[in-house]
Amino acid sequence: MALDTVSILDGNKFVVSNRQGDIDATPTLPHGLFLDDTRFLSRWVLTINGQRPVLLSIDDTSYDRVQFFLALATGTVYIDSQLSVIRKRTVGDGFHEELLLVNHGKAAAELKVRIEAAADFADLFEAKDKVRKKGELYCNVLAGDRVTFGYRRDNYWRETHVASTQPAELSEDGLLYQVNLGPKDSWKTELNIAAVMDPGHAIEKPMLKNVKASPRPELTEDLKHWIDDAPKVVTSWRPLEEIYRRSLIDLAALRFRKPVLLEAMPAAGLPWFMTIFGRDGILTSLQTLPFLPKLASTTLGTLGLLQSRSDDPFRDAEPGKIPHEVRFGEMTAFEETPHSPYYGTADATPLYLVLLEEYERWTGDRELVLSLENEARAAMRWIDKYGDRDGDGYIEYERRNPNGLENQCWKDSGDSIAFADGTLAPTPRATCELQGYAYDAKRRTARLAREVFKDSVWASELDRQASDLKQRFNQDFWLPDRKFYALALDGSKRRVDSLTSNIGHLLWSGIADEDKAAHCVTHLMSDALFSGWGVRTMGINEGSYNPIGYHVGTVWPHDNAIVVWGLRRYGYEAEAARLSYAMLEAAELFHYRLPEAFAGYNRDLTKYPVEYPTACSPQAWAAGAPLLLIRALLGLEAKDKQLIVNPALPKTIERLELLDVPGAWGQRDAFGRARVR
Amino acid sequence: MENPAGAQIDNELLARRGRAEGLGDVTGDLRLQIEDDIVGILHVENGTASIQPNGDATALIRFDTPDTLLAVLGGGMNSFVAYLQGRLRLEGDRALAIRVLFGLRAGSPWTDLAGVKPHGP
Repeated sequence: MALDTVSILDGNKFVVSNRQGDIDATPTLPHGLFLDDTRFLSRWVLTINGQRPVLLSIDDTSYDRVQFFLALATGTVYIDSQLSVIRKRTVGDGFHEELLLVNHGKAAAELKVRIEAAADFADLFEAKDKVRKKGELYCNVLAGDRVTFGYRRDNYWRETHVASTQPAELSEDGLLYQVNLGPKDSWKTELNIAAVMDPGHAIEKPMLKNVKASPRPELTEDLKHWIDDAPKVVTSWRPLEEIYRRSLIDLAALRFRKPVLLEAMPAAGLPWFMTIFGRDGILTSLQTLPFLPKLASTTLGTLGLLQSRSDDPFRDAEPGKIPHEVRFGEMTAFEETPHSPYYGTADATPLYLVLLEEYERWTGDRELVLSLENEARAAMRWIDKYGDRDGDGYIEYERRNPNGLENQCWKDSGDSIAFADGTLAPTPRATCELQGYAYDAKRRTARLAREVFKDSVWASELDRQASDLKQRFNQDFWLPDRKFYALALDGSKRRVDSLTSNIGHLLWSGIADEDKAAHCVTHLMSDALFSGWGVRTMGINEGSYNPIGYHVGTVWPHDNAIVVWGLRRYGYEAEAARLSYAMLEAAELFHYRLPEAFAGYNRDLTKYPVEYPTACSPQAWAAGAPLLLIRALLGLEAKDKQLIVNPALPKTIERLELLDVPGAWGQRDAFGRARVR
Repeated sequence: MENPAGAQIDNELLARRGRAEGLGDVTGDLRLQIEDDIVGILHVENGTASIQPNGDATALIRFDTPDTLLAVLGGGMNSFVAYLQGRLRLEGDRALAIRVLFGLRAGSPWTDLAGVKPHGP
């Protein structure tokens, strides 16, 4: 998020404003009150006697509330401002704002306090463009009570209700207060902005009269439980405790509930991805499993429920496929976009199986896993029948909806799958990490089949398929001249020869042969990929490399955490410790919160990692990355209902303790001391 | 309870029973209503679906009109789209309802009653 915006959120309900608290949406400024991918308020601008107050400071220590301390400027530094303006805002099903004016002067002040308000009801997909609505926008003013902004298109109906505790002149443009403020006097009003879905069926809520100063105490209590229930981190390197706490809070903030979800799931990232993403939900659950296992069970249940049961080209869906993205806005409602749900991802399905096995091994919760056996079998059928489109034994993707995603792997921007000379690879594309995930899914599901589903024949077949896949992959994807795995096979089965971070995912999956893994580690830690802060998505010598290219040169924290996990799997402890520490140092410099991605510039160019301009923050799998790094540093694994601890800390982290790690063993503590050179 | 909305729908709806390919692993009973009027109980078992006039159910699917009911039941209208448009609401065992509604997209005994294209807009 841009540094000149302030966001508060509660799951997929969020408010983005400027640093004065004003909402002033334009195609380049994604301001607004958003719920369910719809902007319920696009303008909310405070002026006093025609002036916008200036910012003194912001207090945003809680994710769902913020205070703006403002003053009315006098136009010269020689005259003190006599008027303090304090806006306290809390997000919920809309937002609540307390506006307090304090006259510090010795004379009375006549103030025209105006709040301009408007609602464009833009779908999130429209927010970056000039909004052209197909339905009817309207505004009603109920004298003395409230202003209603509304939008209706057939049965699709949304409203925003604005009300105030102090009497105001209400109009279609907003609210106007005539305030006569005596010397040393103060004036306060409380404003409620309610976002109403389907007003014909909504239960009318009391708009204001008894609004408390702390409108949502349950959120504070919920957050306290969330943090208290997670394992405790105690370490000699104090920033890690702050990073861990920040991650827990961000993961709590991103959870949201909907009638189509079984329980709260984390949204992917603010502001553009505040919804369910299959891949993001699964990877975040994997990262956080030793800390917050509930996220994994909810993700498995919900994605299993939304697993496709039909063949649907519009949604890029086939039976057994795990969804990519679910949206709740107008364009989805009228099938102008395919997100109801959209299934254009080739990795969520194998990753679902990976999570299912990891979950059972950590928690011992066989009941849930047994209840998802049909989903697991359907997912495996998808891998073999639909994922492998041409029967060559590899998963490859090509969109069937011409408006769908061209790249259906985690690097899903259009330029990400390119040859070393920068030429884009023709589709269908079989990216290498997809094969790793498929291999891992087969190995893991074989264990579940043997031990949980009690189907030894299926288990043997899956193991046989996995062994075969590994052997073929190490021949077909290996680039003997460059000594790393091809990024992909293109539509003509040519090896796409760019050096990318994807090879780290191959280590995590276990598909890489030991000797080839050693070459990959050398590349991952080379100057071409390792920036000093982290492993870049693409090497600096490749034709498409761009340090500020979304998937062709930036550094992604979640990507790096997976690379670290892979390094530990293959026994490269020193490299894992070095990379983990570099990423945690970056987190410290990002005020303990890792963004979705940051620029791939060399560390020797700058003391601080450089921001990527449109990175989401908070982002679920970026928030989860430090948790996976902690797991990797301590070498935590679950086996036979026991917690295995095999620490490998960098010398800069002398001591690391993780207390009350939940799992099939109940709760255990893990300790590590720096021994890695 | 009276069944006036159900009476508006072609009797074939209640009479049919047949394969529903996407419901092989789902068993359950769902009450179908058009607003507050009960249409019947959708019974799903072993990959077949039928509608009984009466019975117990663990989930409720409430449609806004008979047309929406036919379109969704026939698998022609995406149920998630119907939900977003305010044409369909769920109560009770939502997981069962979602499984059944998603499953009907893969094949339904009522497909030819809906008069809606099978997939997409």
